[in-house]
Amino acid sequence: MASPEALHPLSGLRVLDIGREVAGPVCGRLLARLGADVIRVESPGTGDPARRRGPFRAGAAHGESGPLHLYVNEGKRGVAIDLRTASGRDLFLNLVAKSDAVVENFEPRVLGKLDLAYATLAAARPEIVLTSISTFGDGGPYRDYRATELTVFAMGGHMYRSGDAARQPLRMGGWPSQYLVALHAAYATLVALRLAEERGVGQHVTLSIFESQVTAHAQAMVEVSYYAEETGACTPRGAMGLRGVRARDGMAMVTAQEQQMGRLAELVGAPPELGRVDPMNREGGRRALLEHVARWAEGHTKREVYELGQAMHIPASYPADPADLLASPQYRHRGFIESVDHPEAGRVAIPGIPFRWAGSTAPPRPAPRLGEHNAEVFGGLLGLSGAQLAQLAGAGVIA
Amino acid sequence: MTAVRGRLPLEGVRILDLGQFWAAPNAGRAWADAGAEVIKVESCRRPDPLRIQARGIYPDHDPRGEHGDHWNRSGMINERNRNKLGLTLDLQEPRGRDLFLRLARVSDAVSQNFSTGVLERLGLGYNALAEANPRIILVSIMSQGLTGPESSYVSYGGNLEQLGGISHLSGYPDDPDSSVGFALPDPLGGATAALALLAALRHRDRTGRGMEIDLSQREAATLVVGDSVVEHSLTGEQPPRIANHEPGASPSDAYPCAGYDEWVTLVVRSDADWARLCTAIGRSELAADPRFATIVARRRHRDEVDALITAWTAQRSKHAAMSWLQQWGVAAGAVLNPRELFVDPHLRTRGFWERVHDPSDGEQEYYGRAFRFSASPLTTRMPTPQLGQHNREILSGLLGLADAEIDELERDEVIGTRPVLNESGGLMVRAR
Repeated sequence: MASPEALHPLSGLRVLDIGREVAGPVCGRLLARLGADVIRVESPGTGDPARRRGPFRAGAAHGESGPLHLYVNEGKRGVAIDLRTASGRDLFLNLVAKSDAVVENFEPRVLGKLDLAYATLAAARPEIVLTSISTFGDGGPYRDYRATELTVFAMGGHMYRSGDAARQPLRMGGWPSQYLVALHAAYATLVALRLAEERGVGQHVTLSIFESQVTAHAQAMVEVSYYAEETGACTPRGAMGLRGVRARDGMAMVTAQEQQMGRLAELVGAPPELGRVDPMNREGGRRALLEHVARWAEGHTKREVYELGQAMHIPASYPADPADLLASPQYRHRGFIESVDHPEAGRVAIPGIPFRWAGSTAPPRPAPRLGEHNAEVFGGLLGLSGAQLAQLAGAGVIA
Repeated sequence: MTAVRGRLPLEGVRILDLGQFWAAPNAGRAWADAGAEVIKVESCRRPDPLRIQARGIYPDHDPRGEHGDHWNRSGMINERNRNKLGLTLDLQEPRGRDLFLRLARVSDAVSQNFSTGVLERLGLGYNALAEANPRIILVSIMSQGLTGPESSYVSYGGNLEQLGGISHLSGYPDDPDSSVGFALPDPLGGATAALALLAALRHRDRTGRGMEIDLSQREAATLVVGDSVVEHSLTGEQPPRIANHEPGASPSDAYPCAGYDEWVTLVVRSDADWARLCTAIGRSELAADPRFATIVARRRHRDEVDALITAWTAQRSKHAAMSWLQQWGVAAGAVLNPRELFVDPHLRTRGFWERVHDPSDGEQEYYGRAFRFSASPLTTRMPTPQLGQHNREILSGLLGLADAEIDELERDEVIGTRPVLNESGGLMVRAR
């Protein structure tokens, strides 16, 4: 095995990840896979709630093998410290003194309550970069609003037009707003670290999930600014909705712009005149063609609709489920889905980093068990003796 | 130019941004905002297609404006190219290609999102760039990556949401054909590219070697639902569509408010949350009602729970409902539309919108950024460049070309400040 040090872009950087559940830990995972030494810091006893979020593999330990935890904490070392105790806080500040960045996503007032605000961290290490992700940022009227993925997705302006006009608006599945802000946070952390490494300047980087959602609009935010004096309705719900076609084994999508309609007619064996745009009857012609598409799709699998459409340079697709993703020839070719062996959960398939580069992404490693690297980190990095570790463990400060 | 305290973090980094449409220009904007010198490189025969959209967004709905320069007036272009310099080069012309390679010699990175193979056909693939400058980093933001059997498939943000696994999880559980999407893979791709370059720059500075970054927007889509892949790998089951329901919460949904199609979302994650919600809606006696006392019970009596909440929300505006519920500590968020976001008091208080004087569009407001830096505040230092605005400054300043040489390039249409369009106002070259 080649020496792991100095091979990876972020080798030599140490990041303390004290995040909760999704956004902070995802940011930490990205930095870990780019080569940083990311130490996941959790509370002794139960650890992060993501650990206990199921479903679980039969027989696997529930505190160690929640899928979200296995995914977002992959690539890190793990310690447990009770930050609410004086000696836990001291221990953490000793780690800060040996680190380059701290990533957190508590509500804005939490770090202050723990007496671990930026100024305190900077006193322990002036070059430290503190990256704070919160739903609404560290100021403004909504700062202390409670929020979840649903409520911030609703506020971010993407939900009002998602779903059918006759039904209630829908959120996107999963935690898209948390992952998007995590990508922004990882970028912003590296930007700040560049300044810290070059000039010794540390700083506090803050991110708002709400604002991150607003920056993810294709054009709506331009429209409301350019046409601010107008009062007409925004795009109604359902107008942007894509309806699929039923393939033999599930749904597929065939969309075509006007210049692609001729090829689409050829693909589905429709009369050629349906592939020509009739300026007097644009919608009618399109509907007639789509009926042919629907009948054609019924005789094919969703992958065939995708492959045959793409062979005609038509942007066909299908909503891939996790099994499709694992079997994807494209993903296999690129080695995107990796596999890690976790001591409690067994072998787990795990999506990697969404780019290939000159062979320097850190290899996957399983998410740490709670406190797994206590001795390695507190002993190896901070020089604590076995007796000191035992004393801290006995007092419940670490576990 | 606005004065900034201290130095911007990416000062001294120069990036040639060939990006077009959305994903790559967004990455370029992230670097430019942080202080990098980002040069937006376009060709007059093939400018960023957002400059010449048939159904674009223009001040007063008037593409031509006072000076007829509609290609500088598109709101879409002006939103996502701030803080960049503007250069035109006809890359299909040998002199244009040569000038690009000379610029690559004095730059740190090139970013692009052309279709697979376009950059190579221009003779500007990674090998050509690395030959000119071994320290260069090429960021290629592709639909499905540069390699693999599906790398040349055509796509846009919406079908990458499908192929990446987001759509499978998004929609009404009882309507398999429904779908939720807003082309998230574009902003995801831009944010991922921004991150990847910063890591690669650090690597380059330590090893002296550049690299090519081969980014897949489809993979970026899967990144955000990766836990569903892990879940499937653990259990063999398909994760269900859960619409607005959040795991471990009940109720969790959107409820109708007063007015036409107005909604507020709320999420109850614990029995204590439920008790607070009951008090907030004036029904504190329900907190102890065994029909609703636990999450399991509330799920079982979901219709009754929804009716109780709706009876309260339907009499209030969504803003009033959100604000009242939040006062009681209930996680609630109004379903806001873009017009409401533009005047939202929170975003206004935080100075999220930045007023920019654009030379062709006048005073406009654009959103700021998801991130803020305490030691080096980021601002809009320059509006989006007009097509070819900095041709002279860049070619003489960076490459030392004499005025007469630049005049000749202009005469021969290697550079320019007006797009060369076909008779119907479209591109001379197919868009994508």
